[in-house]
Amino acid sequence: LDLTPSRNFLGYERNAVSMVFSRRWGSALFLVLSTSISAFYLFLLPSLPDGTFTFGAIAFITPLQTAFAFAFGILFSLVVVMNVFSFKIRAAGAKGLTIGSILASLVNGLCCTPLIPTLFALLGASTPVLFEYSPRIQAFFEFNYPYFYLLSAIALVGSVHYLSKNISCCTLVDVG
Amino acid sequence: MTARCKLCGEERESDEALQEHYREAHQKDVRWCSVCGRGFQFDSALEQHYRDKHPAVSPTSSTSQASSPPVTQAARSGTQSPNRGAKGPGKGGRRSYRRRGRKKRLLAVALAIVVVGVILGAYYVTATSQSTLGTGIYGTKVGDYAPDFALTLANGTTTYLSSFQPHPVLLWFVATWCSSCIQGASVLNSQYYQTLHSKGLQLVTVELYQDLNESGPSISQFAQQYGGGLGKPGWVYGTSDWETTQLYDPAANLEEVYLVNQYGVITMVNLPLVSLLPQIASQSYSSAPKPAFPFGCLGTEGTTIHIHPWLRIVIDGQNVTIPAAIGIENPSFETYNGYNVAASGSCFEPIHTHDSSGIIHIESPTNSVYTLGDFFLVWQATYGYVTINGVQHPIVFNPTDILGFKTDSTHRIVLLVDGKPSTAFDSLVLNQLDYCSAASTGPPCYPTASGNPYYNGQPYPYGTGHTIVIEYVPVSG
Repeated sequence: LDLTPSRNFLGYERNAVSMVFSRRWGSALFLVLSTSISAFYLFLLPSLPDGTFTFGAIAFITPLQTAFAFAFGILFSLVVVMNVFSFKIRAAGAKGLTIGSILASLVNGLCCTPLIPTLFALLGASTPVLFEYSPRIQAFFEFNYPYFYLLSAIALVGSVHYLSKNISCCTLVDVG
Repeated sequence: MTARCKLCGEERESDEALQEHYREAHQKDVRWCSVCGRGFQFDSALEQHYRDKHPAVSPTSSTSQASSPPVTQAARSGTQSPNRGAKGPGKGGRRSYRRRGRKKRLLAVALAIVVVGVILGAYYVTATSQSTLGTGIYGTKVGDYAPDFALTLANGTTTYLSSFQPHPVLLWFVATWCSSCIQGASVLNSQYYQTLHSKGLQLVTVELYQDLNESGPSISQFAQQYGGGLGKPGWVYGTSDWETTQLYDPAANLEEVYLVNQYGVITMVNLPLVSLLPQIASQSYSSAPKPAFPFGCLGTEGTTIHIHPWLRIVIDGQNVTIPAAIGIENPSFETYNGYNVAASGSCFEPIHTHDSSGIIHIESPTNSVYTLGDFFLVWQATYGYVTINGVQHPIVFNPTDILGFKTDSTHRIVLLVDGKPSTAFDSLVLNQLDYCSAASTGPPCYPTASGNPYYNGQPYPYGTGHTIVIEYVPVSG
């Protein structure tokens, strides 16, 4: 019985990745996606506090944001390609975690845009409440956004693991 | 060591027992290789196996061989996981389960769309219709007159928004700790400062009250770190009080950008600055259109309030002429007793002047309150500036500035009402300060043209004789 993938370190992942990349379309899609998503995130992340996508914002990118942009580009592309592969082989995908990771990567936008104040206003907050809590929440996202980057990366890694398990665990069943 | 089934998760004591389990429990769920007997869960995996291991064998023909057990529709659909399939309900139950799941997902998506729509709608409403929190003609939306406020500069001195007139002002409220504000200051300093400065735009960066109760750098540090320092000509930094913060940033945004033209009228309210700078830099500020009068046009002069305060302005002992036709659009002048008098016009403000005597005519159809600041506003809307000794001066009045003459270590501004000092300054209510009542016998307070108002050689007062004098005098005086 071939149980190798599950018993080795990162066995599922290595097996799934090798399966995905053995297809030419898989490698090509990954290359295109990882490059474009990384580039997109290099502009997006420093743009988020403004609430508007501006190319000039890249001048304000931090080293952490740069690293995360590439990490997110690679991991997210991998997840997309593996999801496509899963769909092709009719295995279960990993939508929830992936969506969660995207949302977590965007929280910096909750800092300086009018989103939080608007939400408060929508909930009928009075001016004193608005002034007391809205800046506090915005400041929380301003100062703690690196943790959300980490959360996003973890969610993506979780997605990769989940997809790998679905892809590799049962594709090979040696029944003798 | 136990072996776990990869399809249903059940454990067996040995690999052999697990093989037996596969044959018994999952015969139908496995795609079998007709050549070597290996089993795969998915068609694609089996096809890949054929390509890798048995390239000579046609997968299509092999999978259709009788030796391959039939694959159930449920297994083909792939919508259920193997584990769930082994332990879950029957086929009908599975379909029902899937339907329920699909409904839930649809509901969640619909809910998300509604929430996002409501948020975007609310944002659009708040962004496009900021409420006017000022009083009367003052407010914080486009077209309003920017309410004046005191600004404590980084060097500790106090100034007023109105003191920047007759220059247009880029008024930028910030929280010094927010990313977009930092980006805005950096881009403004490095890319747009020269352009805006050359266009005569005054840059006024104001820290929101106590940084909105969050800890951030001081406004001076903010200026030093991101704005290129405090000494840049035409760019000042200061702090605002709680009332000003609430007035100009009612939504508690971390920044708010106002463009105020040379007449004190707001022409833009938006955020963030970093995205607005290209637009702001592309505008021309040299010839802003003359604003509409701050109060509604009157077809005829009102009579609900009909009083005539008298104002005199003295700068270092020199009388400043308060011109005729303040608050009158397209005035028609007539000579009366040898003086030019604006007798009629296409539009009358409830506060206006007919001549240059200093008599202010408040003739309003409504019982409103009118202040000395309102008169200066109408004056400014009419003429834009006043020329004193050949130099253009802004039409401004507040506790630290009269017509561009600012208080300092050598000079102060004194407001005298009936000869007594008043601290009301621009808030002084004029309604009760009649100099020559229209109800008194004889003509009203016009036409006159020089010195104390008089009529045909007869000195006033006809009425209560209140007087208002603004003096710019040496501190020792």
